[in-house]
Amino acid sequence: MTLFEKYGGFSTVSTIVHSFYSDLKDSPQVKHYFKNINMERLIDHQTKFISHALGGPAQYEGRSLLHAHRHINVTNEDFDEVADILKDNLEDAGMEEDDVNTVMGIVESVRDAIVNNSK
Amino acid sequence: MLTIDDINSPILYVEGSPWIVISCNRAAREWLNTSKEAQLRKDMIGIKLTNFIPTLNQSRLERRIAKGRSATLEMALVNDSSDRTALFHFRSFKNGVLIEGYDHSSVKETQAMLASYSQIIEDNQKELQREFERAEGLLANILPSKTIEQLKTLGETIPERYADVSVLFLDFVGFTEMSQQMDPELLFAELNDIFTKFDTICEEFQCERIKTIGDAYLAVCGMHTNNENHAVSITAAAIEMREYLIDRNQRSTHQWLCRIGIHSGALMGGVVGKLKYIYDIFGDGVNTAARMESTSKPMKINISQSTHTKVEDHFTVEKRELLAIKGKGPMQTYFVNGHKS
Repeated sequence: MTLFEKYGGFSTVSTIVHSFYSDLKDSPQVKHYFKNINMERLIDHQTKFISHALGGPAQYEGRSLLHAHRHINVTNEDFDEVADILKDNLEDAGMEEDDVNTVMGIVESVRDAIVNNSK
Repeated sequence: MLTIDDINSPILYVEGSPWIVISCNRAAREWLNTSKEAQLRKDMIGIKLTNFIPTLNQSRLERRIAKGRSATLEMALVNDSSDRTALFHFRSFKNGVLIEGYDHSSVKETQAMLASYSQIIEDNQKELQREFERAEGLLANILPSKTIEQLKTLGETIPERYADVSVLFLDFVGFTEMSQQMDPELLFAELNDIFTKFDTICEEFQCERIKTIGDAYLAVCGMHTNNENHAVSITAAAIEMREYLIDRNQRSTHQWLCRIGIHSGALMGGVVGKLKYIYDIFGDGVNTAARMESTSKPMKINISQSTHTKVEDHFTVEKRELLAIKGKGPMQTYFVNGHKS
C-alpha cells in the first residue's frame, strides 16, 4: 500500500497542496519566488509532485523539476525553508513520523536538481 | 458604533498556558459554547480554550505561529441546526493569540467532491489495469512471448528462422463425409473437445499448437522452448493423441480416425497481417510435414527420415516402402508403433 492510498488518496493530497501553497506565499524567505506566477501551473506542479512523493499515480520526473527551477537561483536556505514548510503540512495532515521522513527523503533527493542550477 | 459582536465570524483572544479565553465575540459563543459547564456560566471568558476545542494542540500551534506560518485547526461543529465545518486561524497578537474562525463547509464539500471524483478515476484505473492484463493474457495465448515483446517495442515483428525444429500435422479421415452426415453443432463440439485435449497433450510434451485449419491440427516443438529432444517430444505427443482417440472411439458413436505426419527440419515463424495477428509457420519443414501427413494412413504416425534419425532410440518403428513425394522425389518414411520398452 502506498502512502497515497494509506492517507486517503487524492483528497488528502489536495489538502496538503492547499496549505503548502498558502504557507509558501506567506513565508518571508521564499514568498518572492511565488509572485506573478501562474497559480494553476504551480498548483499543477505541486499536486503532481506531492502525489508522486506519496507514491501516487502521478509521474514527476527530475527533469521537469530542473526545468521549472532553471531561471531562479534557489539557495540551500530556500530549499530548507520549503522542505520545512512541507514537513509541517504533512504532519498537520496527520501523517506518521516514519512516513513524513520517507517523503522528506524523496524531497531531499531532488535538492541537487533545484538548488543553484540556473545557468 | 461597530463592535466585534456585530461580526458574524467568531473571534477570540487567548493568553497563557494553557490558553485561557480573555475576550470573544457573540459568534464565538454561538459556534463554540456548547459544553454544559460553559453554558451554565453563559460566558467563555476565563475558561480554558480546550473546553471548547477539545482537539486543540497548543504546542503544535505555537510552534507554527513562532515560525510565522499558518496555524490552523479544523473542527466539525454540530451544535447549531445545520452542521458545518469551522476553520480557525491562530496568530500572534499582543501578549497572546488571536483566533479567527471561518465557515469551512464549502471547502470541505469541494474536498468531498474531489475525493469522490478521484475515487472514480482510481477505480477506472484499476479496471483498465485488469482489462490490460486480461488482454495481455489473451495475446499470450495467441502469440509467442518473444513476438509480443517485438510488437510492443518495435510495433512490428521480425520473422525468425528456426533451423532445427519438429512439425506435426494431423487431420481426420473422412471428415468431409462426417460433416455432411453429422449435425454441424455436434460436429463442432466434438472437434472442439478433441482439439482441446490435443492442446493439453501439447503442453504436457512441451509442444505448441500453431493453428487448426478445419479438421487439421498443426503443432511444433523446439521453436520457443529450448528442447533439443523436440523430435522425441513431438512423437511422444503424437502417440498420446492417437491413444486418446482410440480410447475415445471405444466410448463414442462417432469414430474419429486421424492421420499424423511428422518431420524435423527448418522453417520460418512470424506474424502475418496487421488487422488480425496470426502467428504462422512456413518453409520446407512445414511442407514436408504436410506431405508426411497426407501419405500417412488411418491411425498411423508417419515420420520422415530426419525425424527417424532423432527418435529411433526411443520408439519402435516400421520401415515403409519408398514413397514418391510431390516435389521431393522418393523418400524413406516410417510408421511409429510405440515406445521402446
